[in-house]
Amino acid sequence: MMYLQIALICLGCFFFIVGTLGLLRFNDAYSRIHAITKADNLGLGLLVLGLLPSAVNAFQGIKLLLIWLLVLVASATASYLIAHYLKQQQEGDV
Amino acid sequence: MNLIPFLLVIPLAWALISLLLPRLPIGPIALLGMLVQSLATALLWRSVQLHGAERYAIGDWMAPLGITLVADGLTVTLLAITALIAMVCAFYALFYLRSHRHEARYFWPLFWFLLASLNGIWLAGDLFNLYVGLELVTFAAVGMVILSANRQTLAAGLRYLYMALLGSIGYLLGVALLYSAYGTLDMRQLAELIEPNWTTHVAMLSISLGLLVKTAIFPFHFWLPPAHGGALAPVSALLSALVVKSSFYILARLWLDVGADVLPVITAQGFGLIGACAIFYGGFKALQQDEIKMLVAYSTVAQLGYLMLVFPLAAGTAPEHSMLAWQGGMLHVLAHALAKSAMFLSVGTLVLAVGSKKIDALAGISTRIPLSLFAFGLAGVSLMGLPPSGGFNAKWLMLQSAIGSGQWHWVVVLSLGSLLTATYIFKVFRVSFDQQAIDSGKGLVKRAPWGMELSALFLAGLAIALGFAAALPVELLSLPEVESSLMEASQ
Amino acid sequence: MNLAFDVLLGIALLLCAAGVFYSRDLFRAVVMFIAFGLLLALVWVRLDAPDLALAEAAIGAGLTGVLMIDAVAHLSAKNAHHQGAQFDQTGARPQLWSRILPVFSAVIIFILLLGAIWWRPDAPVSLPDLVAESLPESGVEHPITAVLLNFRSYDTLLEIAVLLVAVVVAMALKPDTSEPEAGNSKDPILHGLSARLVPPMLVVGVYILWAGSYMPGGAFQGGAILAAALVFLKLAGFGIERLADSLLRIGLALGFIVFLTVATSVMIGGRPFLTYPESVAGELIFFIEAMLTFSIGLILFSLFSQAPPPVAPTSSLQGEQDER
Repeated sequence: MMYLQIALICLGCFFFIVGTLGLLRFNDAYSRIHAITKADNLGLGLLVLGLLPSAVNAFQGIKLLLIWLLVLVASATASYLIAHYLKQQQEGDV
Repeated sequence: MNLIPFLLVIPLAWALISLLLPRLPIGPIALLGMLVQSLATALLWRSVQLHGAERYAIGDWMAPLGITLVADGLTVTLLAITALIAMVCAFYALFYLRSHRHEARYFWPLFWFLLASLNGIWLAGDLFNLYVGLELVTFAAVGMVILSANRQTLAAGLRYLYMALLGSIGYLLGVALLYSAYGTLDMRQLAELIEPNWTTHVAMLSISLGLLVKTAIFPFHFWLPPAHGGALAPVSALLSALVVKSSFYILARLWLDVGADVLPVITAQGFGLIGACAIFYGGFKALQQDEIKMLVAYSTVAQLGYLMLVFPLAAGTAPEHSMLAWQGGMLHVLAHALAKSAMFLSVGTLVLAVGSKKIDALAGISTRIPLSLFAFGLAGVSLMGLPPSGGFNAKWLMLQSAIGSGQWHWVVVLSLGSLLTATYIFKVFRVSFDQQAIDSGKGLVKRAPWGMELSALFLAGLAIALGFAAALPVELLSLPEVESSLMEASQ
Repeated sequence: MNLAFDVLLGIALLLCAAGVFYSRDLFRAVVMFIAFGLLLALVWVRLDAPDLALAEAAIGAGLTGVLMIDAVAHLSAKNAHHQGAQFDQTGARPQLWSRILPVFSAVIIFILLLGAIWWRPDAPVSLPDLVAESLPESGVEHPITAVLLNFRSYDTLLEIAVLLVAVVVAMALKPDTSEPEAGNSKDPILHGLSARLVPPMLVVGVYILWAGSYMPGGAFQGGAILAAALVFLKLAGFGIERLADSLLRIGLALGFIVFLTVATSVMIGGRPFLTYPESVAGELIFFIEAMLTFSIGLILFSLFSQAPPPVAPTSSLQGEQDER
């Protein structure tokens, strides 16, 4: 179990690092959004999964899952808003 | 029933009334509130005079757990001068704000919050509570500066805010260090525990720098002239007379009351040195101004310098000289508060009458609006330190202390400073008595409301009268050591 | 492991601070500032002060960040109107001394403080012990709430006054002629999300207020979450800023009024100012806190909503784009 947790967390961290790298290296806003959502969705999800077995009681587990869910919703909306805004800007410019 | 909490509750309650019920005639209601406030202050003054200093534990929690309010001689004197000046300024504002409709709406809530915070600072016996009081003073004062919301006052107010916040951070850092080293925030307990070590010195350095910024002592003065010079006349009067004194009061209390034993002579002399710089720099800058309100504002920078001379005169000298310096300094606080508020109020009337802020615009007004000019002159007499006036008594006490303790360099500073003050005051008079302008019919002015002229004259008269009645406050302003023994006796 | 994390955190904090200071692009500086606030919240967590962390994240990073982004958007819109200038206000490169001086003074302050903490005498008075001793008499179980609302409630009373003054100043600065804003762009997704998210946010706010009596939490944190919910609603295009003026004003001051009334009315029984009768201390404190939460939420929100409406559709993101 322990090793599985470590593996999950490491994988989660990997996604975060890759996502951040993408955020820094991609030169187009859409690609950047793409990269950073990977970190939020997959990375955080794996971290939460990895931490779940360590939860002391059910409440802590539910809270962990809730955190993931809220971040998912928030990041999805934020990404949508940024992309939507960019699209509007570009259409306006053209 | 103890009066001390009412000095805070009354202004806070009135602040709420004037904020929430703007339809009511909040100006006259404010005047009523000021009367109540003055009555409470007078009763407290009397009680302290009869029974000695009082301590009041808020929430019935003793220090260091709770916050203690202290009403000693110095406190009640400052409470009284605050009530007095605020009342006259409120009366003046009734007339002045008629031409400032938009500003009048928010002037009164801020006025009351400012008053509450000032009273809170005079009464506080706790270092962190003083910090909260300073914050409240700062926000209310900055708010009052930017009331008119034009480009100049906004810029001045923003700069004031930044500098004041910087000062707050310095103060808070020092207080945190003192707390970590001694475990208490109560000033009296701290006075017993404090000892000269690295932590104490760093803490006091940080606190002092913060408070010097807030008091606008040279070289941290630069925020003051635009803020005080650009605000509405009653606001300038309150700021110059009272607000800058609040941070000086904390500085003086901390060094001379709490940390008298840890104040190195070199620091005290350093304080005196920047005070001297402030006197000369402020004086010269005042002389160069061509706007009258800026002249008065730079005069505040110079006059604040005198306050810093208290430190070298009171620290490390014989008790009697130290006592003289302390009394002179505090008398100077009172005299300057009266004279400077009178000056700002009369200048406000003059500016309103001639419709221009320039000194040149005052040419020949001596025959047109003599009452306000007279008030300006009386206030000037006190600022210069000519007898008989409160300013003279203050400087006389400080001179005696300097001569007595053999610190001749401060005698020179004190005398030269007065000369410089005279120069810039007479600059205004030379213009206003310009015979050519009078003859040519220049200086036609609008009539000023009688209430405005009278308020300025009243305060200026008090500044002079303080010269005759100086014994009254000086008696109460005895050295802190004497007060604390009184406190022990009364408990 | 923890030490390594702390060191990393400290370095990141310093880097963020430097980023705020040396960034020539105002928008980037604001983003750095928000990051700084979030890292600072982590520092508070490491220092075992979760309530401060919550306040720092919600107010220091969140609400202040929103205000700053709003201000940047206004500035850039104004600049675009006037000369089409970018964020750099002066246009000139800052002088060398103005870049070195802050670092220099920071180092000096650091050394002085290090010495002050290193040679710190042992405190002769232990206030935490005293607080623990008197906790049973305070009416609450959490020491921080006991200090804030009972032992040093006078400080808190004045702090609320400070907040109120800040709002009064903001109101004074608002021009008289403020017509209702032209219809905010109602984005369906944002709208739907906020309609679903705000109720749980309010629940969390109330929970944190209630939790304050026995664990970290309380009026400031609860109020900050309430304010965040309100800001969220406003951004999503719900017209809540059109709350009636007088109602809003009373709401802003309600916490202060209740606090001051309780503080004063106990004096009728001959008790000193702000002395709660011991039998009802807990209830009174909770009542005051509840009203404070409501008012603090409104105060923080109205600091945001008093800001003038958007000038032009040029947004802060535009600058970020152009810069690349």
